Amino acid sequence: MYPLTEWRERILPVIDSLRRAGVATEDEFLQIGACLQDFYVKSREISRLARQLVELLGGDDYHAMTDTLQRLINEIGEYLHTAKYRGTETLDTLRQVLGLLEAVSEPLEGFRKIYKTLRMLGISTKIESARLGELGNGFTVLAVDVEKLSCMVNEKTEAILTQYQQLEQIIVQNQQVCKHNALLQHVELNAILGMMVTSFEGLAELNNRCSGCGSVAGTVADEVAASISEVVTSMQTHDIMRQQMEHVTEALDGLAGELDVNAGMDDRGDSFEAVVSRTGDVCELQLAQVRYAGAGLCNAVVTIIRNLNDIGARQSLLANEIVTATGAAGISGSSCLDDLRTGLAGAGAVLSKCIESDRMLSMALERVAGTIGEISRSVGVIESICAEIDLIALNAQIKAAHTGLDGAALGVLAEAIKSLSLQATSHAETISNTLSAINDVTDNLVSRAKCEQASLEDRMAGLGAKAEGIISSVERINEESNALFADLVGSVEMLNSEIHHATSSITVHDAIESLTSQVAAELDEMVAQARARVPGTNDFYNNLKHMTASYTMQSERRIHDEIVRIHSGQAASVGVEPALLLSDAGSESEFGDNVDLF
Amino acid sequence: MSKMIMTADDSASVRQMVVFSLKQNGYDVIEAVDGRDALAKLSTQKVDMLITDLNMPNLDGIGLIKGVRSGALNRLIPIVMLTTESQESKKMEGKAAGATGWIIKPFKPEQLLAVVKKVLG
Repeated sequence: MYPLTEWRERILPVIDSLRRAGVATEDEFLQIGACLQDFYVKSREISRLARQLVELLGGDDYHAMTDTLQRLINEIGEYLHTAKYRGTETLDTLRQVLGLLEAVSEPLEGFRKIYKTLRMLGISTKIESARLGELGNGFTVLAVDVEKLSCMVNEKTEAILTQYQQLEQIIVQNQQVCKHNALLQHVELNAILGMMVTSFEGLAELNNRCSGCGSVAGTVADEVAASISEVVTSMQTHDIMRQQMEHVTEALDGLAGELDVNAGMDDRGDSFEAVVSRTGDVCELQLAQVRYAGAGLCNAVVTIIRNLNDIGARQSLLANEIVTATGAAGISGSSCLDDLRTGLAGAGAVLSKCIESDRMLSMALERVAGTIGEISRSVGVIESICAEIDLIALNAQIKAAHTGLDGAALGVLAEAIKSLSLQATSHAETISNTLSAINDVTDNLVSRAKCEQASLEDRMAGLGAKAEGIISSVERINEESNALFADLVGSVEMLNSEIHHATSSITVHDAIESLTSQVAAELDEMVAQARARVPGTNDFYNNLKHMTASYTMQSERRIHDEIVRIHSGQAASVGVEPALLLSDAGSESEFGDNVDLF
Repeated sequence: MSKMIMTADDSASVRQMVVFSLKQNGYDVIEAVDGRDALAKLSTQKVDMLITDLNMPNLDGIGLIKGVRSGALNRLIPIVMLTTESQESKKMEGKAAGATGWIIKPFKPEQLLAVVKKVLG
């Protein structure tokens, strides 16, 4: 077939394919654009969930909770310190009471001796009064009275001794209670406190890690925004390619028209050679333009796919960072919170036991005070008896004086009885003073125990409220974070799945690559055939000059210039109009080199 | 109240990206498929800004700018050309017709947004 006609018939399907390419690929681009919007919305939701989770575990509420926990731990620590001091003091006081009680045993023993001596003096008085006959009658009555009173002293002494032993027993028991309390507080509560400190440190560490995730979330959000920006930029390549293809189509359309007009031309003349040369030139230039446009679009689609996948990968990275930072099963799985719950409950139980112990100590000390009161009353009775004995002795002394020398012996006996009553009074005073001292000490202990009990009860109520507050915060944070975790992981999985589905179904670049290959093969062959008939001429620039008017993009002008330069060493410097050398960028502005504000 | 911006472009994918970039930043956007469609909509709809392509069927961007500037409803709005055209002579033509600014495709969303914020004050 005559070459011009053959070339025209080869060009027409190429033109048709190029015309259809722009329209056929737009739907797929629109589909990608719709996916991008969807991914953007989902990605923003993931970022929101991530920020919310980070805020929940690293934000103000969480800080407030850990602060309260810190104060609670400090409070328990202070209580332990005070309790240790108080326990030591109580034990010292009880030891002091026991020491004081020992001071009572000597006067009690003195009472016993006085009783025995009085009885002997009573008997002696009876014997002596019997010897005096009628003169000693009054002395016998006095002797009987002294005997009776001495028996009463003895009874009261025995009673005091019994009470003394009870008192000693109560105090020893209280010493044991105090020691038990100390053990409870210092072993159990200290262990609980240690566990709570560890829990607190765990929560603080969690808080730190989550704060670190905040910056990761920010970085990921920036990277996702950058990926979306790159996709938006690449998406516009379709419009650019479409226009480039339109310009190629126009050029090939013009060539087809020229080939049609010259279809019957004599193939031996200069005019024929000129048409062949122009055909080769046009096809060579359009071949370059098609290849550039096709490659540009393919690169853009690859960039789109890569960036869409990057969005999913970055959100996965963020989710993994958060899961790693907070524990794979969420904070509910972290042992520090379980320990915290146990610790708070344990501290409450130990403090309750301490309250009960203080209450028992207080009751016991009240019993001590009661017993001391009873002893004091007994001692008072002894003092009264001694006063009576003293009077009897005085009476006996007077009577003995009236009997003259015969009653001298009775006078000596009366003197001895009087001396014993004075001794008894002195013993009673010693016991009274000791009891008074014990009373003072135990009164102090009782009032302090009651005060401690009230303070501990208040502390317990405060601890309970704070512990309840912390546990409820922990549970709330747990629930919210678990829900957020589930949402976050679910959203990331869904986003990744949708991105994978969307990117794996993108075929537009394959279609364009196939199209440009076919078009390029046709044009390449036509160039070869044309150059075989008429080798390239220096008229390349003039043959293609008219096409520059249809260009809108600097890339098209650069390709044109490059082809001209290849065919003519001087074309670039002398052949290209200065206006065509304008950069795509235009003048630089604050918004970028492709933006001008007038 | 959010600002209303019109995008006029014969490329549906470019319009889609303009709408996406602006809507996610709180702007309302209406679309026109060419200069004639845009001019018809602008005769009844008040907008705060127009972003238009240069080469469009039926009525090109320059014709659209002239039509808007000579109209009544939106004659004072900022108009930014968004085009693949980079020739200085074309830019001057646009400026003379009344364009406020010129953006060469492809744009980055943050660039478009910065320009929009700037021209809308």
